[in-house]
Amino acid sequence: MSEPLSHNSGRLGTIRRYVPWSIAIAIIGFVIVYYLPYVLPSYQLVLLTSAASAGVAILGLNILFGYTGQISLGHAAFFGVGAYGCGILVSRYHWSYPPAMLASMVIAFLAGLIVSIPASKLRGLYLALVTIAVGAVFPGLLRRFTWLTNGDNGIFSLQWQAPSWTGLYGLQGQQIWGFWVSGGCLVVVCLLAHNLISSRVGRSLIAVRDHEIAAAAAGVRVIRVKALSFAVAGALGALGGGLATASVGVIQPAQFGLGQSIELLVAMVIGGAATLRGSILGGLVYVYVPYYTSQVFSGPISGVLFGAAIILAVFIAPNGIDGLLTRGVTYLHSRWRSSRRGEPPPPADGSDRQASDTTATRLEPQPTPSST
Amino acid sequence: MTHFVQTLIAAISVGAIYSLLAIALVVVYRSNRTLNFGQGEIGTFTTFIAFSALNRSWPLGLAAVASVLAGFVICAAVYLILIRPLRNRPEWAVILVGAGLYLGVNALTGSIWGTNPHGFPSVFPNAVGDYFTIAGARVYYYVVGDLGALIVLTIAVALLISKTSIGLQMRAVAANPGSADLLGISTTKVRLFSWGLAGALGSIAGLLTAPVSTLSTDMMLDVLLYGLAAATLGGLDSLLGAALGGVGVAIVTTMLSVYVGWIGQDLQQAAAMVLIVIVLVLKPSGMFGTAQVQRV
Repeated sequence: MSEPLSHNSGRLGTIRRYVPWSIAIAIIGFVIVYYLPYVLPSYQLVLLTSAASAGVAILGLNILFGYTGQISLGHAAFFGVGAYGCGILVSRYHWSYPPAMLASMVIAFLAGLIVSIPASKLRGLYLALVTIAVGAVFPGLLRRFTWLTNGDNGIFSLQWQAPSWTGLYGLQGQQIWGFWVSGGCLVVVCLLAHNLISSRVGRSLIAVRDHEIAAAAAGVRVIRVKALSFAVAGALGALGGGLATASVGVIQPAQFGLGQSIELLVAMVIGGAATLRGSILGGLVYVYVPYYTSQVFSGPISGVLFGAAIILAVFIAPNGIDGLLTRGVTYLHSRWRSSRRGEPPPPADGSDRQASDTTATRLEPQPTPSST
Repeated sequence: MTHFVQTLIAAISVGAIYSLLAIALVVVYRSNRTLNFGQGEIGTFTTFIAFSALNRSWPLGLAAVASVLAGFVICAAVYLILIRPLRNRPEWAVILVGAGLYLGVNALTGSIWGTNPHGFPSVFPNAVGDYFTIAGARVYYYVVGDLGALIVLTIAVALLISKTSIGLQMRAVAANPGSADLLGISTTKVRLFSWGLAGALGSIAGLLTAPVSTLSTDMMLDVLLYGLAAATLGGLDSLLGAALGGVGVAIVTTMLSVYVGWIGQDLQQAAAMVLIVIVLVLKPSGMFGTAQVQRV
């Protein structure tokens, strides 16, 4: 891949780390997560819990595709590893959820490393094919090992009931607890991901995405970077799957197939590739679009919306919703600043962007030779 | 022995359909160096169009022709509107559009016609008694029909590519689009035709699948996956590879699922997927494809 995913320039969303800011935002995040159950109706809370767990998984996919440029059409397999890992450990072996989630994440981390063995040699279309193969194999494996997974019948009653020290009880308590856990994990994962991306490792991910050969020439260990990327994506996907299982409580093989992998990818791109906000938005899109379309229409309209949205996004909003919002805010900010100075407002198409604008996340794209 | 022949016959008949879809994928790859991941779903859509025509008392032959024409037009339109404008964008843009078509067309078909399965008549005689026996195994006429359709269409496409003017232009665009353009070939027209041809082949694959597996929105999902495996195995730019690959993948995976108990039916598709990974790791150009050489 020689062209980066987004042309995010400058002032908002630069990948610089300012620790007091990070801590402050994390604290704000935790506070929001803590108090939201007291202001929201329970059906919204359940939806937001799903959105948070999807957001964690989509963040993993974002690290893989948005930051490292490895297209993956098999992410639901990692999601399923987490879901079934937790489901099996909790129901058959009576583990409690925290160690089960950790164990599933480790398994998925290793699975990601294994997937990266063929995947790191391939690019573009061939990489997509390999990830499709991985994504399509997974439900078959679940159905095959019925003694472990209960096959097509699925595993039920996996909700994580609120522990007694929280003082919560019953269905409502379980829902509140589920939201706290998912939301809290999302905040922590965002913090860790931000630290990762703004570090040397993160820059090497972006370097591999933007120009693999130049990165290798600059000393980046490309194979290791890709392996790490797949492994982290796997672990986060599994965490998302575990969180989803803990709140929804039912898992079946059909929920983790190629269609879901594509939906996760679509939600990621619509939310905003290569940004943390975009992953959260992607999680919201992933959950709320099907929910609201099912309220209004019967039938699988949400698939039509997803398909249309990704096609639109590729054409007019390659940076997703987050990209549109960022462009809007940057434009308004420039207008405000130039009006304070008494200058004319900047052109809306960004044609006045200077080379000195810090493009911390990516270089200017090289024109790709026409092949389509 | 009978059981073996019966299994082989079943594999060949379904493999012929995989081959047809693989040829469609390869035709698109040759023209655009990309894959249309929505090819199977567009085939489903056009088969449902035939279904609607049948419900309006069209004769089957006419409905089938309408379906194939619809496939041609739809895929050509997809190229013109969705793919061609992305020609200067990186590879993943077209892949995402293909993924969007996969989801969107599947859901659109379900929204228009509902998600219930329907029966669909076969273009070949398909009554209970329409078979002959080889070595004790029943060979239904539609099996011969499917295989015959594959052979006829493969020869037709091969003749098209090798003997006609448009075929020569397609070969030129496949070999070097830039030079073809400089020589005055309208690459847009050639690609329009290629995508249309692929759409027509995908429609035929759908028309042959529906009688066997019932007409439903999900009927081509497996066909697409096996078709991808077939195209990868045969070589993404090789028509012969696709034709052979489909039947080959079907035979190999069916035999594995029947005779290797550990694999069974649940892992039959997984076997095809593992095949994809093995081919891409060991020889990405497949059996008959040309190896891609990249200048750094």
